[in-house]
Amino acid sequence: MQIKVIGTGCDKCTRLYQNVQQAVATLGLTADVSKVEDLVEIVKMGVMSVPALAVDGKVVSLGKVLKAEEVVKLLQKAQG
Amino acid sequence: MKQKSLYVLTGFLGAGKTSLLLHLLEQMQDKKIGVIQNEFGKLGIDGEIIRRNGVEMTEIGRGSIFCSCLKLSFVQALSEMGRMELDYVFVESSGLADPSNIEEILEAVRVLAGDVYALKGVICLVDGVNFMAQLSDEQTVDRQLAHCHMAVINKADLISAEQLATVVSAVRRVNPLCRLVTCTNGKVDLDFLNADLTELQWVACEASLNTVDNKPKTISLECEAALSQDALLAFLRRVQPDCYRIKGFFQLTDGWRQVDTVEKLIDMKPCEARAVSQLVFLSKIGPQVIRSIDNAWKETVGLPMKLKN
Repeated sequence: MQIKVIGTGCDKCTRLYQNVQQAVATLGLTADVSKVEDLVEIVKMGVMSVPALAVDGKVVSLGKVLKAEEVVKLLQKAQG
Repeated sequence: MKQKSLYVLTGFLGAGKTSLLLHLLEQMQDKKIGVIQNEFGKLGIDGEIIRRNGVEMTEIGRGSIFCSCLKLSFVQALSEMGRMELDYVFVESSGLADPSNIEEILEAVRVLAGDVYALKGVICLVDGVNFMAQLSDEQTVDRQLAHCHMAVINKADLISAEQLATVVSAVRRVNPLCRLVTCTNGKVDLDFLNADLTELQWVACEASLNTVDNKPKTISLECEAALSQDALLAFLRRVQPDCYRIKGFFQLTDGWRQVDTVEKLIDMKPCEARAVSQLVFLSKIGPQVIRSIDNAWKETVGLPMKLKN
């Protein structure tokens, strides 16, 4: 599973990143969690509101610092 | 669609950005203009200005205090405006003072809306009355002023000629190369619209830095050879401690670079070719910088060059 935390490096984006890591640990997932911080890349992904979250290439959340529990739910949904 | 001329307005709080914007809108009624700023309220509207044909206004950044999220808002606003038929777009924001920020934002705008903007200049408003108090100390170079293409000293009517001269000196210490104008109530002369602000102004620099005691504070270096990036960096690092700023255009073995150093930062970005490589040094140590530059050059580069002041 590939998880991307999208944001240009502010506090909110850092918090989301931490919450995502927590969620991944909670679920015991093998996932590659990375950050997308480059403005041009963010825009190319069609994201206009940060922080955002993408799972396996699909943007699943925009402009919110999701709590770890909320990320868990999203990841579970993505797993199918 | 023709490219829109883009100007970025930065400046200290209360310096008069809003007054300047209003003045521009009043004087340019025959042009189609877009304005992007942080809050509508600041423009002191006057609904007539909005309703008048040809002025598009976008307000952004409400509640967003993080510079990074603000960048995205600007990208969005600029992209949307990019699709309209406009002659000029003025963006007012202190948060965009950093030139690398502006370039980054314009690159993102290119992805979304194409090459719709020509950045014509970054204008920094200076409060003639309060500037000296706002200036922290000599070592701290204010980024907004350091990176602008044109500095506008406002409130010239509220200060004496001596005070103005002091402010001009102080501005020049921070930015020896930008165009410098003064005005009252933000009523700046519109001739800057036809000037190429982004070109370095060698003449303006030399004229305004001739101090009473005749110590040269700026030295310029010319070189006809192309250097490797390592050699140029080594030279710049050697001479940086003795200079407030080093600015210019230099030919490297793989192309031309626009060079800009502020304190310990060295910024080099690709640019168009010039007739000759040229660097201007703003000295911290008076005329002794000539020796520093000469020694540093011999140790790191060793090729022929000319120094003048």
